[in-house]
Amino acid sequence: MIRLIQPLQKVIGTWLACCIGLTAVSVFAYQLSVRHQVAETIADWLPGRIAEAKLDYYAGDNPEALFIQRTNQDLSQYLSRPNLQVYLLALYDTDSRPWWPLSAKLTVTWQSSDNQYRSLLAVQSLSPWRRIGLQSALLALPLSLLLLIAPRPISRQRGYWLEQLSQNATGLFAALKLTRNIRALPPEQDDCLRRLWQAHAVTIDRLQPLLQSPVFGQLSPEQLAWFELALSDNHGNLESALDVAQSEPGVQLKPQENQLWIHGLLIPLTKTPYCYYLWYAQRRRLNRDGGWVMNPPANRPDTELGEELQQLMSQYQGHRKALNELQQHGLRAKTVDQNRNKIKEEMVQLLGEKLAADYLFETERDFKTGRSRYRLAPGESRIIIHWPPPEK
Amino acid sequence: MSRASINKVAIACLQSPWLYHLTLTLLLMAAALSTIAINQPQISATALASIHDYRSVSCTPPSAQPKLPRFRVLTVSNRGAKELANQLCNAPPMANRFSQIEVTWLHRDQLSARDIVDETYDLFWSRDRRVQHLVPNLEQYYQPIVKLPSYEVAWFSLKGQPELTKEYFYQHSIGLLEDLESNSHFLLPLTQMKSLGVDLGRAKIVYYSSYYELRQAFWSGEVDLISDGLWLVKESRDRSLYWATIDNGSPMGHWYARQNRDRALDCTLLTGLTPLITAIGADLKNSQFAVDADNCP
Repeated sequence: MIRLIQPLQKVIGTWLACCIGLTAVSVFAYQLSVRHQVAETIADWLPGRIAEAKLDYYAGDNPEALFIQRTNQDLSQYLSRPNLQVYLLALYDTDSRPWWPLSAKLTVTWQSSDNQYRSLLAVQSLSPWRRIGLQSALLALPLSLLLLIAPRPISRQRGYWLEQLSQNATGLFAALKLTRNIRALPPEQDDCLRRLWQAHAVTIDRLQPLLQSPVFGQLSPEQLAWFELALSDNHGNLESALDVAQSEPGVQLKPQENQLWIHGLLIPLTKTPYCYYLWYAQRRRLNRDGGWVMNPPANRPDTELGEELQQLMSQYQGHRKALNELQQHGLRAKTVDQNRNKIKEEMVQLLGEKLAADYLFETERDFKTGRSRYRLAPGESRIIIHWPPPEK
Repeated sequence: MSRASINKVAIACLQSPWLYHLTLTLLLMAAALSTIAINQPQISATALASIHDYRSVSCTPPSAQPKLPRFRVLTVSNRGAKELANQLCNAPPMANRFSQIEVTWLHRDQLSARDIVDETYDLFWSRDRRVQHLVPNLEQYYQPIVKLPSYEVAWFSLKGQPELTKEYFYQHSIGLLEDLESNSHFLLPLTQMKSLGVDLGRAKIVYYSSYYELRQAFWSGEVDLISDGLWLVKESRDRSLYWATIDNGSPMGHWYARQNRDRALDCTLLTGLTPLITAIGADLKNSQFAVDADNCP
């Protein structure tokens, strides 16, 4: 019911506007035509009558006044009717020329023996308002409907897609149907679609479900970036790509399976970098010292941190070589830096600089020691670690 | 044209706001034009075109039968025409004899021999010298029923007594009427000037197209001299008016009625004409009736 009210208002509004417009135009044209016809009639009739009147040498009073008086008698008898009154005001009128075409005063130019004269008439004409109004109302009905139905020009955006689709051997009508939802699409979504289309990550048969999906159009620009990534990554499984886009913007770690999920996307890291990431994530999650991990000094490895990391690594099948090194030397600054760089390298390669940035490291310089400390950028609430149940 | 280029053009059309607005404009114009066409007013001018002569008035007697003939009167001026028509219309003897009374005023030269022979008019006024010689035997068709009294025609001036000398006419401007048949305002004054030996080419004569304009010109001082009947004196009000007689007994003509008429109408005709006769300032007592007016009520 409520859905009907708005279009109904639109139709009624348009109809009313058409009614008023058509009535106004008709009345204007009607009045204009009345004046034109009266002027023409008088211009035809007056010269002969004046010529006749001129031969009347003995007209008792002012012959012009008499002429006007007699003419008005005849006009009221032969030309006037209930809705039209015509009077001759002045036989020779040189200056008054009403600017408004529907003025009550009408000047008539007529010719008599090569001379032009102008007379001034008064015209009172009533328009048949009821008839004109009724006809306009009837005519306004189909008119307003046609005006509303008339297809609006399609957007440049839709034009682009029509061109693209019709090139791909889809008929124009099918393309029109397919692109019906395009105009509601935000520009970011459209840009994304174009990129995917040009990269052949989206084809015609994928375009339709995508355009009809209620989710796609509402993705935020960031979610869209994840969608684009996911789609090009997994070769076009739309649903999973949409799932990725809608996933929580957080980090999930499953140490037992060696899995890292970022924003719903599985990030395959190599073993040692994975352990380092897990270690940083654990620290961030526990929020110890705000999750900060001080880099060991360049000349002296940190055995305490080394032990912590070594335990974690041995628990989750860390690389033997890396384990040995930790055991022998503790955590060395060089090793930590190397592995962080490795993580960064691998993640940027997968996610791109922009998306990866949110899930990499923050750094700070410690003023006392002059050393750097690092932590993961996502806050502790955005990190979930699925630890395996403790062994009995 | 290939399919692709057709598609391209179609897409360009679909995208064009210009085309959309053109469509809307065409729709609106079509609607406006059709409503204008439907509501076109029709002013019929045929009734106006068929209006009878400007120089006639007519009336229909009460309970007139359309099959009866018209009663037609001819005069030279519209003065009293309407009253005459109405009077005749309201006279009971006319009502059951005529379907319409029409009074026409035409220029004098428009009364032709044909009108006499055909007995176009039931009643008309004319100076005798005009009508007597139109046909060999006027009495066969018409009978004069009222002889109007003769009247005095004079030169009038507002600037002193007019002198009947050549020099006087050369020194003063003279107003005459364009009507070549006019007794008082054309024929009599010109005849007198000729008899005085005035060279008409040298005299300053201004011709006017109506009696009204002639008098206006005289009273406003546009011309010094005009010739008119003595009735002009009545119009002078407090201005001093000077005049010199041209003719003190100029005949004013007769009202003629058809010989072949119903004599029972004579009284009605006389009663109808009375206001016309008195209107020009003529004394009814000086008029002579060819019919026996004493028997009229």
